[in-house]
Amino acid sequence: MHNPGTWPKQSKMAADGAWEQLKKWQDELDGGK
Amino acid sequence: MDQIIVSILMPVYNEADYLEECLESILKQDLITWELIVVDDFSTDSSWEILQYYANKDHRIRPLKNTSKGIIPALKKAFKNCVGTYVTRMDADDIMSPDKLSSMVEVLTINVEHTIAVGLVSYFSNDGISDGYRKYERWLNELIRGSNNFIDIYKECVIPSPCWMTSKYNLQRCGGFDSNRYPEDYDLAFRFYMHQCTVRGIPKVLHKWRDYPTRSSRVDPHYSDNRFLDLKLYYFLRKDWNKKPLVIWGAGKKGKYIARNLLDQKVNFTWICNNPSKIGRDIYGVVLEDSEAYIKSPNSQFIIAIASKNTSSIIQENLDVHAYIRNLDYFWFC
Repeated sequence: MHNPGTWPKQSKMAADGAWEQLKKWQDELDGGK
Repeated sequence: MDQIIVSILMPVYNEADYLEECLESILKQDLITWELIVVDDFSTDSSWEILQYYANKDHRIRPLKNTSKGIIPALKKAFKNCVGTYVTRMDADDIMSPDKLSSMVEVLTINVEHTIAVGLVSYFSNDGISDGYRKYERWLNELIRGSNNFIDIYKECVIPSPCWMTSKYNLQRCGGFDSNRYPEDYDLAFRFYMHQCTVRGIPKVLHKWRDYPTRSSRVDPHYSDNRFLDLKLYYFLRKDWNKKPLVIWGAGKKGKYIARNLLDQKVNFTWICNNPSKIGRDIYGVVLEDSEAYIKSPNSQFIIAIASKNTSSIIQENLDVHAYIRNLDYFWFC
């Protein structure tokens, strides 16, 4: 989630109100480190 | 900048009187990409209903119910659920200036990753602000203007609890809200200090801090003077005490509390004071010594617990004469 390359997609998900989906994706990104 | 999500963490407990004004100030932010993770800490007024109303109007407002009573559990819950790249705190009875979030994000994006962005604060109240709070506001804002907050870390809380922002990564690095020590805001300031964060002050008022007789910091025992002293000693002994002989300077209320605390921890110290009527007295089994005689002795670390402005100036002159170095040889605890 700290990778700036993922920020546009994160921002789009936030704008769409997809908070749960975003949180899940972030957890996957962090887990994949 | 609009691609960066900011998470605003906000505990709420019975703030129905002020909550709408607070939420409206958040909705007026000129930065769009934020989420407000607001955790209701078992309110018994209509705070939860107000939060539901606003959440239905704007999906960025995300209310949760606390599962374990207290501001620290509320912050833990908020932090665990947040998705922002940057994180800040807000108090439910306060007001943000419209450019608060954007100003802080701007600072963080151009500085190193361990940066804490901090804005100036302004107290307001329906009943007027006491001299003490104005003094604290002036002192704090002066530190923020100079971005040198940590120089006074042992005096008072040097980071305004609802007016800082940092990256989620950095906050995690500093332990997030895992600590259970109160006052939680001062504890976090100490952890920012311990982890060598850099403060970047923003020279404009970004936060209006409401004062009223029943606010937590005035009535909650978690925020009593003694809890502050406990915290100061906890971090001093871990961060800045270099195992040289310790000296407590001052035998007033705070000096006595510090002495008691060190005795309880079985930490040896010498106790000195300027007051001729106290020199030679035995307090808690320790005999007070004359500061004039003691200060000539090198190789000590001084904890100074003297609040009086006049006496403080005399002590500072004395320390300067002997070339003692601040925050290495001596530490102002008042």
